[in-house]
Amino acid sequence: MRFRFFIAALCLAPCCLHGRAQSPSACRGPQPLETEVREHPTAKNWAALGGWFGEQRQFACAVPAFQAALRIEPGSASYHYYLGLTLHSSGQTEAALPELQRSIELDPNQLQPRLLVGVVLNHLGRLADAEEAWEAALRVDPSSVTALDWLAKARISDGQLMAAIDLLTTAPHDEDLTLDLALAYSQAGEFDKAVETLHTALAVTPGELRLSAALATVYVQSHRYQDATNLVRAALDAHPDDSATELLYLRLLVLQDDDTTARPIARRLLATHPNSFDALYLSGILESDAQEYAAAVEHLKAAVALNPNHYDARFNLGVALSHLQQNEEAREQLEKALALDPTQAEAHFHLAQVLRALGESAEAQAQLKLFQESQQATVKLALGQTKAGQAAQALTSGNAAQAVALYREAIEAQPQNAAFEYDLALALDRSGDLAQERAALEKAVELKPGFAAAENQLGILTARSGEAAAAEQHFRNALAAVPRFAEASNNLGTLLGQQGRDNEAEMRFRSAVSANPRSVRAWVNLAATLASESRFPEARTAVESALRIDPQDPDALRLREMLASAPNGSSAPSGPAVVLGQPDHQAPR
Amino acid sequence: MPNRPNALWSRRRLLQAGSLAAAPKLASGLLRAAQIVAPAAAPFSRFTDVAAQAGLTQSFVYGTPRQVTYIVESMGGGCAFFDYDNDGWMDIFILGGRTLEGTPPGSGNRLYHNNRDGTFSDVTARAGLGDPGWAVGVCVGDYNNDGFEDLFLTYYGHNRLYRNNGDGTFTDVAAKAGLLHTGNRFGAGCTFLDYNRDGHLDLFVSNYVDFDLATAPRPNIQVATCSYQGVAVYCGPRGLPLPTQALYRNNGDGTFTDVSKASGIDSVRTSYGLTAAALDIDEDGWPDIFVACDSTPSLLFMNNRDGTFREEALLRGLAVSGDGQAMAGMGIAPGDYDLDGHIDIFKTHYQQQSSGLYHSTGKGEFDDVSTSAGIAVERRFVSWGDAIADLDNDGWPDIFYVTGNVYPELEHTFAKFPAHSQPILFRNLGNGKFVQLGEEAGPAMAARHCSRGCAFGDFDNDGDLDMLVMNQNEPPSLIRNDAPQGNRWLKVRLEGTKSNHSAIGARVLVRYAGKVQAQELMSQSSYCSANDPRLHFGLGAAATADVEVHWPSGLVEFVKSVPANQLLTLREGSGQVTGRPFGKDIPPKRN
Repeated sequence: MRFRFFIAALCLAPCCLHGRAQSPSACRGPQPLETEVREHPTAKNWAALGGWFGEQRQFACAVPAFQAALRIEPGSASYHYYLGLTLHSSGQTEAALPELQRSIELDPNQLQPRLLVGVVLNHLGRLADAEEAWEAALRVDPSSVTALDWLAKARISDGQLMAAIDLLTTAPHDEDLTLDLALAYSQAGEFDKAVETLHTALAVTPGELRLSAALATVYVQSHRYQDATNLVRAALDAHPDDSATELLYLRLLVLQDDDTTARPIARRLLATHPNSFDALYLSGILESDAQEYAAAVEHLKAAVALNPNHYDARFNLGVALSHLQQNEEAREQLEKALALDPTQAEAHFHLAQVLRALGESAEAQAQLKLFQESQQATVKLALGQTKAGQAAQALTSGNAAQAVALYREAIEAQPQNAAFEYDLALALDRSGDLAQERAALEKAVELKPGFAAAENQLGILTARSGEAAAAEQHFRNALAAVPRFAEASNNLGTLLGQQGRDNEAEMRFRSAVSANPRSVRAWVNLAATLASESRFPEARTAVESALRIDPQDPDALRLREMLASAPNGSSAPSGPAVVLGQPDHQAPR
Repeated sequence: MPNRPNALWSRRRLLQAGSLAAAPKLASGLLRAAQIVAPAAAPFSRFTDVAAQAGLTQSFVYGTPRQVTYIVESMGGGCAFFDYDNDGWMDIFILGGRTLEGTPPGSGNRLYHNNRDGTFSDVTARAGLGDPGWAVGVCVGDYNNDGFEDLFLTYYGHNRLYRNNGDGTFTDVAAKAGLLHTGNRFGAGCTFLDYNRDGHLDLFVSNYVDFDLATAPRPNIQVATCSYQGVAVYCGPRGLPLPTQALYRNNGDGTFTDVSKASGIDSVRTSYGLTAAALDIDEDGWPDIFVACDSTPSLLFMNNRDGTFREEALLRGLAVSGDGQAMAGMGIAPGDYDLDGHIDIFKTHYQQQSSGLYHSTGKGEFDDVSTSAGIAVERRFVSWGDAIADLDNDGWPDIFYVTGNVYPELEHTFAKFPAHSQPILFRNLGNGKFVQLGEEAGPAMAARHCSRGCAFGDFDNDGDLDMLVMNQNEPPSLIRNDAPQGNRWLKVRLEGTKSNHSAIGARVLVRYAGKVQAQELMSQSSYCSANDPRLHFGLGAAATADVEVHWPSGLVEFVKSVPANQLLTLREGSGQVTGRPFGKDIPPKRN
């Protein structure tokens, strides 16, 4: 029995539970169903009634119906699932969880309950548990698009971009998954791959709007504004009635100062969507550009009323008001804009001009000073980024010493940049200067507490230098910041295994392969740990998992050979291939 | 490429036709409209590139035309009209460059002697001015007050001070003069100025970026500062280290002292400096220094009159655009476009940026009037050498500038970013507004080049302003101006006595037909270039003009009722003198 009500929609309306077996007096199902339940109060009939109420979104009625079904058949995985689904849909998320978990206990091979458990856990803020739930769903159905989609999104929001990419590059073809993969690539700064991914998908479904919009977004992120505009224009030509695409096109035109083309589109959008924030806001900008300040103020005021926390709407409103010499109002808007985002140099500049017009010279001077500081910060940011880009190139081409020097220059331009310290550490690692590497990593962590990649790398360094306690703490710090950090899990497991803490080590390796099923090291380490406990069948399964990913991995091959010659009951093969991981440039920063 | 100027022109005609067809009761409105459009209805100048006929046929090597790897290949060079042999005819000096690989034949700078018959002769070798390298800017001034104009050239590397020996030759005396520095610098703009008013020309040098070819980053699509709209291009200036600027005090004995630190100039390390112009911003009689800066706020060093300067561009409205944007400032064109007796500034910018017109309030402050003046409509091209100059002699200074992309690679991907593009001309309508003109002003307005420096001067001594344009990897353009007959003009040549001999820093006010126009004599303006030192004033229909000169020494002199259509030479303290010859009836002379 399936129900079509939308499980991802959160119903926040309060509901009351009716604990009686019979339908509450307020709940009236269709006559045939009500009659059937009255005359034959079987679990199936109660569930059918509950399903009907669920489809009508009468969750307060559906819940007692499913509860009634479960009193008759408490061992039904399906009814526990439906009850959980209904509770979640009615906003009783916490109550939904045990029902779903019970459903899974009763029938571990069901996919839907596992998917929904992940959603519920995500909603409860238990993100790591949610990811585990979706990973479990994938063990039931490795090609579940829903599980892959949600797990990928969770990993992306968690910063585990490589894990997300690993997950998605072998996923079945699906538009949502393509979008997720493109998002992961773009967040990892690999815009070329994001573009390629979306291009490939568009070749299959040319002009598909969501893919086109995503590709346009990636183009904008990589400053390819003209490519974005051309793409969206083509999409709009193919779908002239799609207002979302038209809006995106308008945004791109405004971004590129193509006011001539933009204006008629803005007018049309405003006419058809007079209460649309975007139509009002973009029209206001265009009118301001054309010095039609009265009209700009009118539209921007309306936009701000719809979205008071939109920095740019407030900023542009302030500027338009200043052009109309309405300086007090302008001041108010610019100050509110700066409260939303104090880093915006232009707002300080315009506020200075307004304050000067109001005769407040000292305050105007103060704003100009802030403007100058902001400008200088921008210049230093660009300097740091250029040096870092050069350093990355040097490192890629094998010149670690040059990379170190360039990263140091980047840090000089931006001393508070933790990511630069981390990148410097990686370059120092490559050049063999471990002492300086450690100092850089410690600086990175000092600048950004909870910097998981840096903590992980510190763990590796301290483990190598025999400081086991310190290493363990660093790995735990990394995992506290990013619980699904596969590399750190693997490394911690390795350390624990070396100390004979096999149970915990096994748990860490399992966590690692769960977070990143393509982690060969973690699979090999798990296999070795299992083998050391004479759990050979499990060990063989684990080593085969490693070899499926990398058939040539020497540690996996060696372990397999050992396991092949170790029948059940024999002693464990010696020397597990348990190694610490290498620095992961794509680790969460 | 849309033909924007013609589209505007056609729309204007359409509007005129519509108003003429209106009902009689709108007659007063029509009259007002007619008054506004009358100046535009008068004939304008016609511009023709006569470089080939003039013998300017040598290409100027500057980097690789199709692919630029480093910023140093993209920024040069300036050019100059100056009279090196004092014969009254403007000679031409153009800066050239080299390639990353070396100095192929034709690299380096060139000096052309004016033969007075519309042609020029290449006298570079004899003059000793070839010197191939990454030359960027030129400024002209008689630093040793011997009566012969000298040249200072900025380079990526080491700058040069070429002393004019008075015999057609020059000598690089930078080392002897104390103008060398340790290590490489990327010199850009320069200007001679007498900042301490001791009668000797001091020297300001702007630096562009702190740059070392050996370690500079390369184009990289992954780095925002090394790519443009998805195309890998040369890195910078954003993302490259910031330089300081330099000031050298003339010791009066042929040497200079570096006073960058003592003056406070080198305490400012916020901007990528390009063209430098010395002018008296607050009209207190002491020269200030304005530096157009790229992608960072422009700089205005105000003279404290005690050997020090304070930076006040932001306070005075010249640092950024009216919207608070730090523009890509390239060329500086000071001029009095609204004839209020105060010098305004026009600054060229980047593609997809409007050039900036900054109106002087008369109190040393400026307002960005680019949009209201009608010049913000043009933002297609990277823009360089520029001037506010009365090209048609109608009494209202116009705006002219040249263009050319910095990223030749872009045009393969984006038609809207061509490597070569045409010059831009805005005609002053006399009401604070400008109208853009295109090919109707002559064939030179349609020619597309990768231009940089532009010098303005009267090479044929026919009473109007011509243009010399440095084009990268092409021969230069020599744009002859054929101004409308009937419009009168006046040129003013100054010779300092107590002031520096070049009279750099002199401020001249010319009154004619109820108007007053201010100009200052400068060592550099446009893009890293130097103009004809004979200040040119179009007088329109006025038959005479009154001339008021504020000499750098502080002396103020007046000459009343000067007849139009002549070169007025004034010597400080002596009034009008004979000066150098001017006119077309002088026999040609070839060197």
